[in-house]
Amino acid sequence: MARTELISVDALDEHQLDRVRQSVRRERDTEANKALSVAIMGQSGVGKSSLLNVLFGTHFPVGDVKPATREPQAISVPSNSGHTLTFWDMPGLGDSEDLDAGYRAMYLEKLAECDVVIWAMHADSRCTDREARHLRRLLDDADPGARRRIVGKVTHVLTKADLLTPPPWIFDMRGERGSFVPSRPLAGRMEVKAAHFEQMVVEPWGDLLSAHTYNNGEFAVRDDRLGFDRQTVTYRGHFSREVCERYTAAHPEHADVFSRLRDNHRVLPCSALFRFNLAALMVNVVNKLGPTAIFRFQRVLDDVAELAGVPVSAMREYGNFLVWDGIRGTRAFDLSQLPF
Amino acid sequence: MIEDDDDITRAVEARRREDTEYVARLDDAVQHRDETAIEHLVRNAVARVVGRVADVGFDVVRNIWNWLVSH
Repeated sequence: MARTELISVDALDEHQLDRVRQSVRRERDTEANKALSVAIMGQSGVGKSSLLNVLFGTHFPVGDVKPATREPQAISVPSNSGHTLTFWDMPGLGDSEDLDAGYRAMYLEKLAECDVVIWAMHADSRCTDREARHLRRLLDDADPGARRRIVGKVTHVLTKADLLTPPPWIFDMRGERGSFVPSRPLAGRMEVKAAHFEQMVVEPWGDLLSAHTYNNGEFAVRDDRLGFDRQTVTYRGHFSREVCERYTAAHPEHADVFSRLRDNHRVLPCSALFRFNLAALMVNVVNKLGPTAIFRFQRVLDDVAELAGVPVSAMREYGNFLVWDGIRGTRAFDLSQLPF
Repeated sequence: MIEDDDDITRAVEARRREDTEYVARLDDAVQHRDETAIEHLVRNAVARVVGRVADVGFDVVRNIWNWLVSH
C-alpha cells in the first residue's frame, strides 16, 4: 500500500500557512455556532427532563405531567450563553408495540443526526428486555454503517439512582454543601444493576462497538483489537469489565488507560437530584462525540450546572419520612428540623 | 447495612477520590477531542491548499493550534 505523504510546516510557505489558519478558524467557528443536538430516549417518567437540566443547564419542567408522545419531539432552547441547544425527546422504545416502517425510519434518522444520544432507563426498571428487543428491531432496518454510528454514540444511563434504597446513601457534608455517597452495600447493589443492564443493552452490540481514549504518549500496546496512534488508544469491540481486568493484569502500568477505555461502555447509575455520577456521565458523552461536535459541546460546557455537590439546605428536603412519637405526641426525627 | 464509622470513612474517601478523578478526566477528554478535531480540520485544509491528500506533521498542527490560541 502506498504511504501518504507527510507534510511538515517547512513545506508550506507563509501564504499557504495563512490560508490553512483562516480555513481552520472559519470551519471551527461554523461548527461551534451550529446547535448542539441531543437525543434522549426513554420511557415516560424515567427522569429525562431532570437529567437534561443538570447536564445542560436547561430549565425544562420536571414531573410526569406531559402526555406521552409517540413522535420524536424537537425542542430548541437558547443556552445561558446564547447558543442554541436542540433536544429530541424520543418516546420510549418499549412504549409502542407496533412500530411501522415509516416511524422506525424517522426514529433512526433522528438518532443518526444528533451529536449526543442518551438512553435513559429507570435504575429500578425490570422491563429492559422489551426495550432492547425494540432497539434491535429498529437497528435491523439501518444499513451497517448507520447501525455502527448509532450504536457507537449511545450513552446508557440508569436514572433516579437515588431511589435505590435501602441500603442508605451517605451525605458527605462539608460546610454549606456536601455530596451524596452510596454506602458500600448500596454501591454493590448498583454495580449488580449496571452489570445486568450492560449485559442486556450493550453486550449484544459488541461487534459494532469500539472504545477510545487519549494517549498520553506512553501507551504502546497493540494486538488484534487494541491499537494506538500519537493521540488516541482504540479498542475494537465491547470493552467489558472482564476485558478491562484482563488487560490491566497483563499491563498494570497502563491501568489508567484501560480504566478510561472502560468508561466508554459502562452503564452509569446516575441521579440528577443527588448530582451523582454526572461528571462520569459527561466523560462518556464526550468520548462518543463526532469529529467536530466537540466545538459545539464546548460552547455549552460553561452553562453546565455544577456536576457535583448539593447544598445542605436542598439535602434537607430529600428526606421522605419523619418519625412521629405516638406516645409522646411529638416528632422524634425530622431531617428538615435537625440542627447541623 | 453499614457496619461502622470506618466503613463510612472508607466509602466517603473512595468517593471523593473518584469524583476528583472524573472531573480531571472530563477536562482531559474535552481537551483531547478538541485537539483531534483541530487536527482533522488542519488535515482537510492542508489537502485543499496543496491540492493533494497528505498527512500533516505534528509541527503543522501545533503551529495552527498556537495561532488559534493567540487569535
